[in-house]
Amino acid sequence: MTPSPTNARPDLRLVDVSRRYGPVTAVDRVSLDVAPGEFVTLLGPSGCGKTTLLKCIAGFLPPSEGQVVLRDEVMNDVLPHLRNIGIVFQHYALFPHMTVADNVAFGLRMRKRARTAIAGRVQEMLRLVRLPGFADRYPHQLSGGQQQRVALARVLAVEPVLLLLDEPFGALDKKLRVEMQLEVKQLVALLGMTTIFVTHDQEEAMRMSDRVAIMHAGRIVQCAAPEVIYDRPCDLFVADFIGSSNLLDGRIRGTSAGRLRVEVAGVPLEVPCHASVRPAGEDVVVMVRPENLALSETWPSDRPAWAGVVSLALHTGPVMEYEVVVGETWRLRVSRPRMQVESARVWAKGDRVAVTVVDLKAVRIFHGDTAGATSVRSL
Amino acid sequence: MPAGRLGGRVGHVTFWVAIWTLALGGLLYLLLPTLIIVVASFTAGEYITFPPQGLSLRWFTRLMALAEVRVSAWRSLIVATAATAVAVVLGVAAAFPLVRGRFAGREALNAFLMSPLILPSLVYGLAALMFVSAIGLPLSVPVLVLSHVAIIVPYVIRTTAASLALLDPHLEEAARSLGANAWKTFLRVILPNLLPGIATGAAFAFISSFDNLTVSLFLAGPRVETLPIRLFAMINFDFDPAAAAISAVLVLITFAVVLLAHWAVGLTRVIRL
Ligand SMILES: Nc1ncnc2c1ncn2[C@@H]1O[C@H](COP(=O)(O)OP(=O)(O)O)[C@@H](O)[C@H]1O
Ligand SMILES: [Mg+2]
Repeated sequence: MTPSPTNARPDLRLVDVSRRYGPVTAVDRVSLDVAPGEFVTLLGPSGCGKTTLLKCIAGFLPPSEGQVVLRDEVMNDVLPHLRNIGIVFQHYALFPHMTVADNVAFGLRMRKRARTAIAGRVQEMLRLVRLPGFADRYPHQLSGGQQQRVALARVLAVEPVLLLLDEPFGALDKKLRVEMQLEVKQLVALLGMTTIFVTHDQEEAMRMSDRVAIMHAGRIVQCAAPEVIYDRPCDLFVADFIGSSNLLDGRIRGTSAGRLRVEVAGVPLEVPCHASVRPAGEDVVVMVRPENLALSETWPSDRPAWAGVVSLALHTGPVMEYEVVVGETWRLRVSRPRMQVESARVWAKGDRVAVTVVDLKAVRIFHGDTAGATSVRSL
Repeated sequence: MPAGRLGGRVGHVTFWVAIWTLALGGLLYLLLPTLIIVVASFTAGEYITFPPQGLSLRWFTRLMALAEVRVSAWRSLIVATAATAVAVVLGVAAAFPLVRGRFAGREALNAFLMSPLILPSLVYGLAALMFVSAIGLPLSVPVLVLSHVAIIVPYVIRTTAASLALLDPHLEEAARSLGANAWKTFLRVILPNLLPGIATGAAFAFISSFDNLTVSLFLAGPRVETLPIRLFAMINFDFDPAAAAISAVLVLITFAVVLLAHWAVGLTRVIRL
């Protein structure tokens, strides 16, 4: 995978880490460097091995193979309580028999800090997570969001080298989740905390991360900045998993001077491409994001277009989502901002339209027609 | 009212009448014999009768006067307390690998450790006696305690394991990642959360040791008589209301222990939930 963008020594380095449960390979040769202060998200569908990887990092599970290196020190045989790695879980895992203050003080007491120093630090942490005055409450007397903040205060109090967050907002409702995303992002940035965040929610991953590592069946398939993941997915799995996209079967018709001529649904597209010459007649999959398609009533003279009929028009708030049927079998998803729609035209079911690609540079082309194929274009 | 709705209402009412009748009947059936013996113990007459002939505490006073009864009651309390203490330590320790451990044969081991609950305690008593005499141990209070431990420890294992199974495993991981070693994690985080289960198991354990007859019969010997053995002897020789009074005392202590456990559990619940 891509090494971290900075030259600094990574806080965490995973070297070909694998973990098997009997015949199941939950984590498969994962390598990853996380730079100091970096916020990296492991994103992938449920069961792809995210939690298992976190457990290997935290020391709750020994990796079957590979190395977990924390600040140049191999951690494989170090017990979890000696690693100084903080972890926060989806269901908070606050100690139910202790007050908020005792929960936050727990790690400091384990480190045998002076009593007065502990009391001061607890107050400081509770102020930081905006819960001063909650010191004497018990966890069950707090809301989900408050419990999650206490869990954060508890783990940040001991200044861990690395913070692991395993789907920490999974139990919160949508509005609170977005608030907590911002809050945690700011808190972690303020403290310069190196963080590995786990989620299966791609919006959350995109919103919070410096880099997103897409996991699929135990492997990291792509690890890059959110916009790179979105704009240049490395394979069909990522293209399909991140955002919505039109994945259309096409055929190469020829190559010329940095351009690839691809025929999709009877229309030839000239896609800028740095890749090597491809044989004409090769089957490919063409990815076009819904927002990269535009609708018009009149036939464009300057570019190729598909003739279609609007079969679905949905309001989703900020954008309009359309489905346009082209020919017998092709269905194109198109999304246009509402503002633009109002200044131009709102399409309705049954309207005849011409569909054009807005920006051919943003079109991606993949080998073959099955998931797991890799991009023709270099990243 | 449409016929269907009326029919539905009749069905609903008959269901609840049936449930309540069975529940109350069952409860009465459970409690009645005990209630009768307790009431009978307050008789002023010379024989156990129901209803009692007049009310008095004379048989309780007589119990107090009987040195063997006092000694055996005291011994039963000591044996039950000691056996419970040992059973709690062993049972809590055993519950841990039984719930959290990942090893082959865990299920089988579970079944084995629960077996005294299924195994006839009469058989266990005989087996234990043979074992003790084979290794040449004289019958004594410690031997009695250890034999009781064997039959009561499953109660502690079972209730503690149930509590442990309900405990979020992430609590342990959180504690470990915060710097607590295995011992501190157990003592500071796990144990406090298991107290309701342990208290319940300890209460069951104490009661079943305190009124155990079958195992004690084999392992008590003439010198280390327990209260249930004394009661058994009294019923055999002269069936007078003092036996009923001993029963009343046993029932009273059982209730006291149950209430104590209930209070302890409630206390921890207040903090937890
Ligand atoms: N203790 C276990 N024993 C056997 N298989 C497991 C165990 N834990 C997880 N797995 C398997 O490993 C894979 C990855 O699980 P997990 O890391 O929990 O995924 P995620 O957190 O991404 O949802 C899944 O196929 C899961 O069924
Ligand atoms: Mg998970």
